[in-house]
Amino acid sequence: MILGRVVGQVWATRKCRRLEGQKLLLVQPLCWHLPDHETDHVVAVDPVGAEVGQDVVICMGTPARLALGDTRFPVEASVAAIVDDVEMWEGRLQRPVNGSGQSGGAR
Amino acid sequence: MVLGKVIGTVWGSKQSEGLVSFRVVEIRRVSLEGVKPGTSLGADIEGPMLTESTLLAVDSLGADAGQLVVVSIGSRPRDIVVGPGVTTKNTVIAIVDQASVDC
Repeated sequence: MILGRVVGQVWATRKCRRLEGQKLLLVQPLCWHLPDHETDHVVAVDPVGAEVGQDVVICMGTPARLALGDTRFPVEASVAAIVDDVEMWEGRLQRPVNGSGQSGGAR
Repeated sequence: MVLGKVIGTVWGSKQSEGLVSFRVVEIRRVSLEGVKPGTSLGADIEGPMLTESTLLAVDSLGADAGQLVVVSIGSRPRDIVVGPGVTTKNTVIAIVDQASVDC
């Protein structure tokens, strides 16, 4: 699982049938993230109703499909939780994108 | 999954049996570095908003060069979309109309 911030949304008309009706979010990992491909974002399916600006916990792999209630979804990232607050040592939570080193706080 | 832009199709006269009859596309991933809030990402994104390096993915939706797509990475999504015999881990699962960066 990774911690990330919802920065946007993705709309697609033409998609795999199983993705119909699923909301796709654009998420930027907030700290440690080891992606399969060099990338600064994750597109995740959102079954919980997260909004832009919120911090979320993203499930990767099979658990991501389980979170959607069916393992036959062709996805490998989904929102598992919306974060209320994060308590962490000062400076540990660094945004990889702007490197401003924001700490704590989900809002 | 990652967001990327299709930059072309790859053809092979000799290919693994698992790739016969499948279309392989070359994709540059979207990079959000320096993207300002309020930006709308569409087929017109260029240059620094895309990574230099590319990835190849099997496409069963018919994505054209220039289109923005969502690529799912892994063998399980591959099994579901194109079948277990296809020799790839990257699969195009959606053709993006628009993506927004709002914060």
